[in-house]
Amino acid sequence: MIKLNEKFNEDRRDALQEVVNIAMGQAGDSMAKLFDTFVELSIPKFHVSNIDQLRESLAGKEEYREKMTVLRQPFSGELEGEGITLFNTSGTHELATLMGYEGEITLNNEREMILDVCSILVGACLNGIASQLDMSVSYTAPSVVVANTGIADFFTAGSTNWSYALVMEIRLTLEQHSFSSNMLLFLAEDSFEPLIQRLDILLDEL
Amino acid sequence: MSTLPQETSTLVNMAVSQINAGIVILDEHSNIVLWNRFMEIHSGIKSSEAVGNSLFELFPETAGSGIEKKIKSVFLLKNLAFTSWEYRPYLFKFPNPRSVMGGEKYMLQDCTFSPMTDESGKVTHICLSVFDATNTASFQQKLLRTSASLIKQRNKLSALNRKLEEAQNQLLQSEKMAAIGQLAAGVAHEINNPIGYVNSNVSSLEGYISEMLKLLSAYEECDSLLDHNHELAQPLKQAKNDVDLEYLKEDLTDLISESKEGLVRVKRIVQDLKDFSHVDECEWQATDIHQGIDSTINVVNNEIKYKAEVVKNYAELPLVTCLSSQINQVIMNLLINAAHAIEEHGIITITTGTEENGIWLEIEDTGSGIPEEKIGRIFEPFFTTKPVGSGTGLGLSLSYNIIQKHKGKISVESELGKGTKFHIWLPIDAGITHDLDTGASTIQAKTN
Repeated sequence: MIKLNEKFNEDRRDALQEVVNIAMGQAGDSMAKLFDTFVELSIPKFHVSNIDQLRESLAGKEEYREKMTVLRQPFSGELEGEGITLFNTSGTHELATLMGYEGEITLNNEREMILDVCSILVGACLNGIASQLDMSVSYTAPSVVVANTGIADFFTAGSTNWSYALVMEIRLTLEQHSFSSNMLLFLAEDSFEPLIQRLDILLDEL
Repeated sequence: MSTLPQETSTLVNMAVSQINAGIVILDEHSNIVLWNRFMEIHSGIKSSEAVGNSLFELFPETAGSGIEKKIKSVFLLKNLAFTSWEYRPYLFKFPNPRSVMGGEKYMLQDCTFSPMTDESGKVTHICLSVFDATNTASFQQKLLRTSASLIKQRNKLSALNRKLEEAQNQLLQSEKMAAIGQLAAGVAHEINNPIGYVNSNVSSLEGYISEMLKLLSAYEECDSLLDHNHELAQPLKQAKNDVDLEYLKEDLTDLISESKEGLVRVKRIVQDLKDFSHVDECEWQATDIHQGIDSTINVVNNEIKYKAEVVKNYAELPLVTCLSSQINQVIMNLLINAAHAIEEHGIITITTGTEENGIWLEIEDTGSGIPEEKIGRIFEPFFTTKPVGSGTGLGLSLSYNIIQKHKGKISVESELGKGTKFHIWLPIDAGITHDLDTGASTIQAKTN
């Protein structure tokens, strides 16, 4: 952990925060065009964390205590990891018109819809980061991990094949719609080195 | 592709044509720019017919189902968009090529929409790739069906287990009740013998004493004839004063009559115990319900008498064919519950009447009442509102089953703070065809 903190020193953290802020601005802008509504993306804070620390931090937050549907959008390339999106499915019916669905919405439609939102959210945020840092990233189809569970349960049951990850928490809110979603962007340890290299290049250019 | 050498370009074209997946390139208006061989074969639409047409015109069923938004998101966000067979079995309705062995009617597909950018990074086209997922999908669906049926079976089994457990517990409880009944009958029998001769002795004693007293009176009549100066007269007078003869005569009669009263009460309790347990009469027989209620009240009087006054509103009832010991048990459960529900002192009202080839009885208390959220559960086994250790949670569930066995109905009305009323209806003749398993019974619960 000490070594990791050294790696992500203050300069690099500042640079990354700047990159992320710009990326969120772009993502919010594009998504607003896509949905034709004002989109609010929270400015993410990131932290390096292991699974226990993460679970503890999530369990402490009110918004993660409700039952949620958990979706996963894996990405690979120079940036590698997973975007975990959490939906409180009671708000998803609102999405149908926004996502261009006509007629009755079945459970399958609803699932595809939240998968789309998951992939849009992860893609929009990550593409912005990747393009600023000139890193390549590609995506695999998103999937539903679990339906209706608490997020703390999810992290005990599942993904234990990582020791440390760079975690960013981003909240998406659509104005005038009761819809919101939380995303946890996990950058795998393998991405740390290439990420730091690119951040250093960026810092050198200043 | 213009930057590729001629040879490579040909190979790429060949790959696009030969790849075992559908490749469609769309421009920003969703018009088809490229339609590969896979698409030609499965759709039956030639590339020359497809190119230049809009995807949504050629396949109108794809419109209005979120695909436009997917395409827009790829253009805007340089994103990838997907469809999965799980949620959208197919994007293009192609027949399943596995026509010989059957299975799915249509090809199940996973599709990906990927952005194609120009040198400036702007998305100009979309590459739509279509993968045949039928094999994986059918296999997975089979697995899902199997696991669903397994889950169903498991649930059925656990429900059965639960039922068995309930039945076993009720059996235990009724065995316990039977044992208590047997014990009561045994005790009653044992007490009956000595009480018999004590009773007859007390009766004889009463006769003897009254005769002795007569004799004594006769002697007293002669008192005036005695010579008071005789040397024996003094001790007689002394003895008469010592024993307080007047009090003794009065008290003797009282003692005898109180003893007789006590004996009558003991006899009645013994009779009630026998009536209540009915060890020798566990058969369906015509029963006087009022007698059952009365003897049950006597048995549980200890639990009730300090808590409540029992008011009886009895109507004329016909004899009811039932298992009287079990009906008594139900009445006992209801009476004890009523007494427990009363916090300080209240009234338990027992009302009876006839209705529709049957009789009904109501046991109403002025106790604390049952909260609305609990009233639906009171007939469940192990559901109790009493403190740990004081209620098994089986009384009402057992009562419910007994009434069910009699093809009767038991229902409850309750108001918090006012009290609870149990209503039981019993057919006059449930015993004729007492098919114990199919005893139709209804359960109703409501709060006011």
